[in-house]
Parts: sequence; structure tokens; C-alpha cells
Amino acid sequence: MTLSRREFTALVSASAVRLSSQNIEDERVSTESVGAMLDAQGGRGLFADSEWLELLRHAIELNAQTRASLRRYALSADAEPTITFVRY
Amino acid sequence: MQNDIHYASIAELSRLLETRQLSSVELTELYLNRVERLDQPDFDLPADPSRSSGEKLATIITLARSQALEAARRADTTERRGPLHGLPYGVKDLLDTRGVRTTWGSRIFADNVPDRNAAVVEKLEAAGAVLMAKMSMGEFAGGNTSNALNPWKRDRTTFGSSSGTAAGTVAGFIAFGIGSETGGSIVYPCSAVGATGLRPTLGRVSRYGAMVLSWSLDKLGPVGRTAEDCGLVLEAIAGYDSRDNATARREFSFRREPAFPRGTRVGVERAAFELAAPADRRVFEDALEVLRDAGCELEDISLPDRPYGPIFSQLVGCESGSFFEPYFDDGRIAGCFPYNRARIASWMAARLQPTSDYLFAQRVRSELIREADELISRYPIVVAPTWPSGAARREVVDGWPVPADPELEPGGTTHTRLKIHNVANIAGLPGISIPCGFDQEGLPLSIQLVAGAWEEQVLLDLAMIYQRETDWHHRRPPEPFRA
Repeated sequence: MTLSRREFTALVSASAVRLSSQNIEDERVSTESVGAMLDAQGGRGLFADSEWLELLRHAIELNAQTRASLRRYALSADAEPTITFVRY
Repeated sequence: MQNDIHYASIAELSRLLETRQLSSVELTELYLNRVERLDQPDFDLPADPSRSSGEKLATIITLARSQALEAARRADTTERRGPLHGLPYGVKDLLDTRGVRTTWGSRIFADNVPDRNAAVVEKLEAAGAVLMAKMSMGEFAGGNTSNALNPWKRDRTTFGSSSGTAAGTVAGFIAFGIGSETGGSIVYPCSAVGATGLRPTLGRVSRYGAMVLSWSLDKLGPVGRTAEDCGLVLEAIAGYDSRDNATARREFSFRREPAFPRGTRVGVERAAFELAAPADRRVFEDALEVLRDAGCELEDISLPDRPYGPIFSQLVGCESGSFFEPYFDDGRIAGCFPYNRARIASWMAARLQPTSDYLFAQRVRSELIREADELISRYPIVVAPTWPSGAARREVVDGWPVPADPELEPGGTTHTRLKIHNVANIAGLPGISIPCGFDQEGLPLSIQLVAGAWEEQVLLDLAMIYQRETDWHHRRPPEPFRA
């Protein structure tokens, strides 16, 4: 199978995010994972700075804990998100 | 002219203007001079909150002197358009104001002068009101991080994030103000300083032209010295706006004469009252007595434990992350105050998480909304302390203003234990905070009444009846403002 450069980039990016997400589930996030996630979504911007990157790494860990806590809620399978599209 | 006219209610001021005992220019000059004397520090705002403003309250970031006097002159020479005509007001500095800088509480936008008005400002202009001040707020509406000090005691927190709006109203710097609330930012500061503040139903007031923390949670609402003030302002700013998807095609016509049927069931969130210290609890119990005398059938209720904190965190993180995306992209966000960096990083973290987590939070929210509607179908009003204590001492640690006891600040665990407050914000329900007494140190305490969606008049009715029976809302901070 041959992949175009665009398809190859998308595949690698998706894998990086998936791997990073797995790490986050364990509540351990490495700086490398954070860098891969940023690269996958387009660039590092101000997080190219190591101080900001560390803040982001820590924030991702905290966010993972918050999400894990929320996921413990016994949600009904029928529950729709509060994002109903309404035409007035 | 009375000496304390700056503390008059909207109805009183309106009467003075209507009978030409006072002109809008005179009133505006009175407020401007008072602000320049008591509020404006000797450095430019917004500033790092660790900077001391000395004896000045710093509730106003930008004083629009020339624009205000021009608008006042116009008001004096045109036909009166209603009770707000000619009255000087202030808006939280996250609302766009044409020709007057709008900073969002950040030095990044210290020179930002919009060429449009927020919908609320348009409506107030149409009502003949006089825009006079852009009120202090923490950077990007970040809790209690503004420079505004508490007029009752300058070393105390004003809570946040509509700190300047609430404190400036109570200090007699403006006739009324506009604040915003995502998770507590109108009613909490009102409680800290003894203002009356109304959080409207989500969708009652257009947010067009306002900075966004969360499209699905943000509300704009009035802050005044009385419940009647809030009703008069709400009437002027409510209504559908095609530029804000959340607004509904519902008008709000304020009825000034309260009508509250005796025997109405009012739920008392007992666990929230028990968060108060014994001496303060007595103050809150007295407030319940006033409600009982007004004909409320009080019943203790308890609300289930729900993941309020994680829901707010998810929704605000993801939505703020999206709104602020351009400022991440152009790098400007890096110029935020140092204390705010961890929060900015949390928005980026939310942008990197799976979308399904955001949707999960919105699905849990749907269940909580159903629970809230069911509760309100049994109790048309629920009451709880707005905050169970007076304002805690404000200290600045690492550039971040924190109360001496972090639990006594929205964001600590006390916040998540005020369940009806959290339910109301998650479900978009209106609430009003009204002063109900003072703690042992002379700092204001308040109760919050919460009602069903679109039932602001019910809240205002009961709040007006309460304020006819009490005078807590007429109490004024001693001048000079205590250290």
C-alpha cells in the first residue's frame, strides 16, 4: 500500500495522539507526549518554550484526573448532550 | 441636593431627573468626581493584582469621562426614554464599548478600543443611560484576581469575577452595573460587598460583543442597590438577538409592584446553611424568618452529590480554549499576567483532549438539567446562602490574590458544596443575591434565591418584598473605606 505524504502525516499524528491519550489515562504524561500532541494539532506556538510546555504537561495531567472523575458518573445511555441544534 | 445622592436607587434618581431637580450632567459629574477622589489609583489598570492601590478601591479600569459627559448632555436635551434615562452606569470590562477601551482585565488588550458596542450597551444606550465606566475584573474573568478592593474593608476579597461592578455599585461610584456569570461571577461578588445582583436565565440577555468563557454557560446580568434596580435594568437589556444563538424570543416586562402568593413552597438547601459559622448562621436563619413572614412555605431540601466541579472544568476549559484560539495562534496570550499562566495552559490542555470527553460532560449536564427542572416543579424558589461567610482576607501570593483561607474563596470546595448554586448555573436558571446582614467583622452576608427558567419576575417579587421588610441593602460602607 502506498500512502500520500498527507495520509502518512495524518496516520502518524493520530497514532501519536492515541499513544499520548493512553499515557494520560495512566495519569503520567511525558513532555515528549505533550510535544507529539501539539505537533499533531499543528504546531507548538508558545509551548515551544520549556516553561510553558511544563505548565501544559501539568495541566494535561490535571485535566486527565478531572475527566476520569467525571467518567465515574453513571450516565444513562439515553442522555443526549446539551448541544441541541434549534432553528428559531 | 442630598449629600448621599450617589447611593440613591434607580427609582429615586429617575424621579430627581424627571422632575428636573437634578440633571444628568450634574449626576454624572458627581459620580466622576467621587470616582476620581476615592477609586482611581496612581497607576494604570489593568495591573498585576499585587500592586497596592493604597486607599483607592480600584474598581474601575477605564473612566470614560468625556464620553459620559457628552452622553449626559444628550440625555438632558432629549425626551426621556424610561427610568434609566440619564443615569451613569458601568459595565464589566469584557463588554465591547465603541471608542472606549475594552481590556478583558488584561494588559494584552490595554490599548484595545473596539469600534462596536456589545448588545447590552446598545440597549442601554437606547434606554438613554450614560456609559461612564469599565469595571475591574480579573484577567479573562479569572475569579477573584482583579485589583478591586472591598469597600467594607480594603484588605478583604471582593470575590469575582465581576468584582469592580459589584464593589463600585456598593461604593456609590455608579448608579448600576452590568456583570457576567459563568459559575458564580455575579452573585458571589455581590455577596462579598452587599450588592443586589441578578443572574438571568441563560438566553435572556444577549452576549453579543462580550468576551467568552463558555458559550453554554455565560450570562450577563444587572447589579444594583435594590432588587427593583435589577428589574428595571433587566427589562432594558433582555430580549432576542440574532447575533447570540442562545437568546430566546421572550420579552421581559418588569412589574414593579410585587405579587407573591402566600403559601408558595420554597426549598431551603439546609446543608448550605450549615456551612456557615454559628454566629453567621443566626443571620441566615433571621433571613429565613423574613421569608416565612412574607408567606413562604419553607421546606428543608437536600440535593444529591453530582460532579459539578468536573462539569464546569470541562465545559469552561474546552469552550475558553476554542474562543481564545486566535490569541494562542498569534502568541499574544503569552503576555498574560504570570499568575494566570497555569489557567491558560489548562485551556490548551482542554483543546488537546478527545471531543468525546466534552460531549460526556454535556450529556451529564442534560441529566442535571432534568433534575433541576423536576426540583423547581416542586419548589418554585430555592434559597441558600449566596456564600456562607463574609469576605475573607485578601492576600497576594506569587502575584495571585488569594484569601487567607482558600476554602473561603469560590474555587475551593465550599463552592461545590453550594449545590443549588451549581445546579442553577449548569441548568441556566436565574438567581438573585440579596444582602441579609453582617458577620461579626461587619462584612456583608447574602442569600441567593433561585427560580425556574424565565421566572426572573418571581425572584424579583420575593426579593422586593424581602427588601421592603429589611434595610440591609441600604447599609453603606463607612467612609473613608476601612483598611
